[in-house]
Amino acid sequence: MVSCKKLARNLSAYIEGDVDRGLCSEIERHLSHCRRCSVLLDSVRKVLVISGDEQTFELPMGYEERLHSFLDSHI
Amino acid sequence: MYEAKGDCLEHPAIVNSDTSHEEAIIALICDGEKAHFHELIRPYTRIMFAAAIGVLKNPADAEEAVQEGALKAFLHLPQLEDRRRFRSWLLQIVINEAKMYRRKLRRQLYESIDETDEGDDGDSVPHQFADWHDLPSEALEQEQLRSAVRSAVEKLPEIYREVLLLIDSQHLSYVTVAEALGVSVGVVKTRVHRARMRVQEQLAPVFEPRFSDHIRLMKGMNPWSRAKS
Repeated sequence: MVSCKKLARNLSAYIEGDVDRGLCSEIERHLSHCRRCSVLLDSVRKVLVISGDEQTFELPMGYEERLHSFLDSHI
Repeated sequence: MYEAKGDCLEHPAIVNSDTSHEEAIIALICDGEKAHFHELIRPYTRIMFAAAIGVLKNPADAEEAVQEGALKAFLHLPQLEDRRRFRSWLLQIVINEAKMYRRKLRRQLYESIDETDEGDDGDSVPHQFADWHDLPSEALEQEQLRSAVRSAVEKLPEIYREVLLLIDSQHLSYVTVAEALGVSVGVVKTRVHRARMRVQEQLAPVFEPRFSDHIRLMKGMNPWSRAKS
């Protein structure tokens, strides 16, 4: 079975379905009995949800208009 | 929910920016129809800003770097050999422009050596955890949480911040980001993983369960089970 350290190293790949079947089963077996790692998985998934909602940064007001008018005056 | 991010899958809005249509627009621009450049970059304005803010942090500086980068892209468009790679080429120009802009301002990013050490595989293991198991999912909607994530992302070293913004926030593929940054896909994957781990680790103190949550969690628990352990 994988160690907590190995699981943490492969967590992103696991979330993205980018681990082979053998490692995937080992990780799932580990998660079924290790609360610490299942908490970690849950937390990283939530970070992904939040950072993926396009509000990780805010576009300045009028940014696009200024970009296009800058280009208009230079090209 | 988050979906598998293969090397080719990207945000639907980006996938819809049809490559052959894009190549046709580039051909028009190179033939002198300059006004089409606006149409060409319109799908990428947000991504360009993400690339610049990943380097510069300051929105006003990032905006200026985007403007200069877009202008450079226009001026050098005829030199783009593989027009299918316009997206990563444009991003590369904006990132380079942002880095030049930073040098021009003589900004110093005080990042410790170990933060840029790609060889140290120990830092992907978090020291503490943000335990969100028992937080209601509605909490994700709270501005406090968004603000904490924004702040955690801002504190990331540049090499992690830039990939997180482009991959997790803007949903670009690993291949596109690797091309834009001039590094391998493996390096981008490692960086984005470390970025995620650092963000979740930075959020841990913000979301430590409150005492009232502990009381709530203990409801229904066998009172003797604690005494026995």
